Amino acid sequence: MIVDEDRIGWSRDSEEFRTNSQRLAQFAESLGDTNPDHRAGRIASPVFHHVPVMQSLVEVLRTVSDGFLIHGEQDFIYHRPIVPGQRLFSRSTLVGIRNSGAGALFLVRSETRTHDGQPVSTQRATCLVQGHNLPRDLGEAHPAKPAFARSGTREAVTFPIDERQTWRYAEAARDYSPYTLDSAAARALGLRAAIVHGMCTLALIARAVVDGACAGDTRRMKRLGCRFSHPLYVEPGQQLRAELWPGPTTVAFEAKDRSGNLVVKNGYAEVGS
Amino acid sequence: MMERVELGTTDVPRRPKEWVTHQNVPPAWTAVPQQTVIQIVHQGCLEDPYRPVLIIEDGLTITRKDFLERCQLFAGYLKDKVNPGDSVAVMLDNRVEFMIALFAIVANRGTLVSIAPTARHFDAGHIIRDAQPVAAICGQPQEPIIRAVRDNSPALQHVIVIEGDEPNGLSDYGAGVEPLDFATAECRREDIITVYYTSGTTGPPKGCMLHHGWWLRVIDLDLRLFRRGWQDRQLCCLPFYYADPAIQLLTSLASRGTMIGMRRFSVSRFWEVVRKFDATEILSIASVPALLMKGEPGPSERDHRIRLAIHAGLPKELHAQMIDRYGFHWHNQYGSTEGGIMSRVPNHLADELVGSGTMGVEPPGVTIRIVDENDRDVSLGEAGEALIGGPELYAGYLNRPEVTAEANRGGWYHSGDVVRRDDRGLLYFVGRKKEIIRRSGENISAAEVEAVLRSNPKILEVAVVPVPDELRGEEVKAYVQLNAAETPETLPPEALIDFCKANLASFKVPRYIEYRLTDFERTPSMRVHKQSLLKDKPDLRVGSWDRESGKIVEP
Repeated sequence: MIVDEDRIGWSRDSEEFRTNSQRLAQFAESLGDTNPDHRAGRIASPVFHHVPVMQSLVEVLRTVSDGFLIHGEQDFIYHRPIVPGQRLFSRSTLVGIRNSGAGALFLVRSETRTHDGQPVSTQRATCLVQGHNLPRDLGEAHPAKPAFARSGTREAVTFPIDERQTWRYAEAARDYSPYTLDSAAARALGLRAAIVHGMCTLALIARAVVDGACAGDTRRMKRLGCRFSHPLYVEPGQQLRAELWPGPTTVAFEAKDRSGNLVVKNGYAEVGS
Repeated sequence: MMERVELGTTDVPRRPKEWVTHQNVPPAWTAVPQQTVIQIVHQGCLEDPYRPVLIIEDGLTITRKDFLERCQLFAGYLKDKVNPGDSVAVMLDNRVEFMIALFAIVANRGTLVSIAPTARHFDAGHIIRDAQPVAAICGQPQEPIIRAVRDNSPALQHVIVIEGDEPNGLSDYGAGVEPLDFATAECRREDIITVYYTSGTTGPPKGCMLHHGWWLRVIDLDLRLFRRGWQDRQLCCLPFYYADPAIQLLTSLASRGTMIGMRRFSVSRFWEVVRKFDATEILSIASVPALLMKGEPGPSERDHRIRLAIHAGLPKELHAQMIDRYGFHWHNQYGSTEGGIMSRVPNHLADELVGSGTMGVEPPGVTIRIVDENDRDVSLGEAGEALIGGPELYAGYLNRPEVTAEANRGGWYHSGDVVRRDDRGLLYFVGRKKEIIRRSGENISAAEVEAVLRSNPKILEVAVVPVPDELRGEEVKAYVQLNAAETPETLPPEALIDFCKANLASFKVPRYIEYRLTDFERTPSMRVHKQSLLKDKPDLRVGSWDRESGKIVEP
């Protein structure tokens, strides 16, 4: 691992990403999404915004670490929807490195714009490399995340996780990380079994937010984020049980696996009118 | 084995500062730091094992992990059969096994000798006799041909026939053998890894030898000129026995991409394959765009994710329409087996140069000189033969040291192509040296007349050839294949002549026109096979409509 003040501010670009209906629809299908606009590829489901960013995010992290990176937190701020016919350009920048009890946290900000400069989304990722510690923090911290009260009526949605789920997501997002597809590769990293992509987990919960708080209209989603607090293992009978507390313009959520482990916590969504 | 010589190291012309260059190209070897093609395959497969490397248009998907295992297993099978320097003939359709065979042969330091799967006794027999392979790998349709000509190579010990469903056609051969771990492959950069026979205009086809360095340079250059990423998938609509598909596969392996392979080019399936398998880039040659433009419009030709098409020999008359209709840029390129990528339109000038017909300028490392009959540099703007210089060009023609020496005379590769440059250094293709028609002292490019005719919406394909003429030396003859809905009554020869007159100087307008009812025979590079047209009949005027008499020429 190279940790050096110089690395703060380093950035990488993803290649131009063009959008079409088929690719947006494939993503929705991989999640079992029933939203008709998502299924027809008329508009991307909220977590699709990560797809064009992924290459630049990983490449910028690889400039500082070749170790196993754990996606710890993700924050999406939406400026405009992804629809067919766009040309998207994404840049990821390493903004800071922080010590934590578990290891070094790498903070990356990604901006996606259309070819004519219109902002599409801002994403902030926090990735952990276990066991590494730094003499001091470097760069800046991510801005504070919203913390919404868990008040009102609690809603619960359960998503069964079959053994093909990670393959479907891998093919739809083009994220073929071996530890999501191959239990031997996962065990080599100290995991019990293959794990579900964090973005796939969040994308399933986002289905519930769009269907519920957004009343099916993805354009109303203004912000979405969470912390990934425990691996969601690909195992027989696995499920993701999301609990949501919708308010007038906000949703708080968390999610557990079949054994009750809290796999997603401090989840939030902001919903516009 | 003759020694490969570096070309273009002497008599390098000065390059004026004001000439156009490719901008923001990363330094050499930043995209491909590897030393051999096998290292690209090995590293590219290990770094992202579950990402597909190749998807065939009917849905067959091969992950990198699976691909590497299959390559290493078949390489293990070949280990006691192929020694360093041995040739292995491969005669296969567009199937995954072609690529498995390629890297298995190369890892054993053997040479793949490529034979068109449609070759017959004469052409396949010539290659077997010339290359003297120790083994031949073929499909079941090709097996009778290979068996019939195998005695042309006394060294040929093994005929390996693809059996069973794709991608398992070679699996039985590897059963029980120790795989050859590509990490232990001892390839050297100068090893000749492929031989492709070029459809020469004179003499029998000659085998163009390419070494690791040629491949590495082309792959590195291609990725530096156009960076690709994780979401990119290159569409391959060319036959696998040609060099381009393997280049596309290797650039995909080196950039975490995937190649989408068509069984064969098809206008009716093209856009559906693009959309269904999410292609982001097209490599195309010859008449591909002209044929696509004559296809029926459909929704898939707009609802796709193609970022760019790279095309050799772009029809300038159609260029703007192509961009408008399909929604992405087509960049003109000039390439050959011998020289690799010799020229391409720079990315930053793509908009401005639409429809200009330019092939752009040389990429970094390549130099093109334009010379007259005596190999003297012509003045700027004049047409002449393109000579190519640069590191790691082809390694020569197999068993033809004298032909190689002639092609490389003066230390430059003589392309046989006539080109010219404008005052910004931009290159324009004029024609094949042997396809320049000399009529009454004027030089007429067959390619130019063909481009005009092809731009007529009623015409499907054309071929323009010289016809000997007592008075003028040569005359221009056009073979014309009309679209299915058209007949010589709906597009009579007089109308064709008027169309040419409206678009060409009068001396270039064809004198003879022959309607063709069947598809043209094609060369391996999908160009119309003009040699077969020229040999079709003793007097090429017979059966043609003659512009001067207004009648069909009788025997």
